[in-house]
Amino acid sequence: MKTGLAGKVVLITGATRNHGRASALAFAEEGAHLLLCTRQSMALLEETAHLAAPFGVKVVTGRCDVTDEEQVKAFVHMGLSEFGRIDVVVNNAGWRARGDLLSISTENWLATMGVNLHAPFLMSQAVLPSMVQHRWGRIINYSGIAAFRGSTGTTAKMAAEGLTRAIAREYGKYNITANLIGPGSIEVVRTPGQEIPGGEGAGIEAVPIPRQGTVDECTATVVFLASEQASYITGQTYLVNGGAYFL
Amino acid sequence: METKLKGKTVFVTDALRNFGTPMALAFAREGANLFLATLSDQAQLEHTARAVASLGVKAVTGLCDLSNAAQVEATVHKCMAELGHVDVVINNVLFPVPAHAFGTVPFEVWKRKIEVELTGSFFLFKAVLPRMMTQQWGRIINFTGLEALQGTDALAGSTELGMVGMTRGIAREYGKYNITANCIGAGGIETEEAEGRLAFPPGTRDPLNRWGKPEEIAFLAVSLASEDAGYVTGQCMMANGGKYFL
Repeated sequence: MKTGLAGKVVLITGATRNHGRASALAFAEEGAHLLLCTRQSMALLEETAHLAAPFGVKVVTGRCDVTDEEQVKAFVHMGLSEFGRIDVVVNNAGWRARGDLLSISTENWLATMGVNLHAPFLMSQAVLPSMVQHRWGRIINYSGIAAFRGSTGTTAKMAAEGLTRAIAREYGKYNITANLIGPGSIEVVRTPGQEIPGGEGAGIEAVPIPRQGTVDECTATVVFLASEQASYITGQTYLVNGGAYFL
Repeated sequence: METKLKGKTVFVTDALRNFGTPMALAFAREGANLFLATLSDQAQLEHTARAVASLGVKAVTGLCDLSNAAQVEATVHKCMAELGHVDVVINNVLFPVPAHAFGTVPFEVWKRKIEVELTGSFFLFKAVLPRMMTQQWGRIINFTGLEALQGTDALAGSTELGMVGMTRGIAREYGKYNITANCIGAGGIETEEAEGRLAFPPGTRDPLNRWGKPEEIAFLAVSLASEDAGYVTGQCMMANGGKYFL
């Protein structure tokens, strides 16, 4: 499949591991240049950049708290200075308030709103002028299985779907698409405190494809949605969940 | 239709806005007592309260900024003290912001709308759910809208789909306590413009080429709150003249 991504510039948030790192490497394999950020571990981000190096693409990394308006603007500004354009944004950074509504602290709730909702808002707003100028753009946001099956802690993920649809409607005329990917139960390394209660893959035997997915299986959809061929797909949610939920 | 809502307590947020007044009257006709909360003008709310009381039920009002957790708890406490319980929540919260092109939405405006509508609802349910759990019965009704489905307004669309997410979460997490949570997705209602919302006027391509009435939304809410709607949860019930099919 020709993705048409060679030479494009792809911004990925939270590109230190899991989906973020896998996406970075997949885009690099397609010949796309990378603009990667993290809030915490620059060492892990540099490791991602190192892994992308054999593909011969340019990789620029930076620290950015994606919930902070000024930091997002500064990071995007830096990226535009380095590359002259940003073609694809993958708002991969995520945070989840686990547990039921009564067990979620206000602090945890606000962190979830910040990373899952404010961040794609800020990042999209910052990159869209460049995309409009070049009459081409792809914005890819993340949802998740819990948003559909019901979890108060993922309220922000559903809200991000509303945001994605609005961007899709407003910017379609500039050849810019905005979509969501909704991973199901995926084998990942979790941040301490972000583990799934009951263990990874609990209840997976009831899913039509009765195993956990891999980040590479999600990344394939991300790359597809960013590709030239996906130019008529916008405002949609693509679930990569083994059939755990049918939209 | 026997709703079995007589004697129940219905807590309505932002009772002056949106469908608040027709909603309050519709529940009062079923014999339910009303707690009417508002963020803005409690004096004006007294009109609604009097209209409700004239139907022979109790009506209590309270001033409440949903984005203030302490105020929310105090308001729910007042409802419990004066009306004994809280059985149905009509979460009518609306922080109206004129529709912006996405590129021009100030981050502060975006944050405030989310703070009132989503975080405010989070605070509300934190206060209400323990009471509903104790009585092993509850009905939560949230609102979403056409903006969320059509992508016509980034601000409204985001909070409206956020409400869908929250509704599903409560439905899954609290169903075991006999608590249901559903969403009403209204669109093309004749009060939209007056409320400072994006209006969806009727068009010739719409299956129902007329404005919807707030009373029609109120009827749907009463139906969802009724005893026999007890197996309906986590759903979005669309009332938009067929402008969008879910």
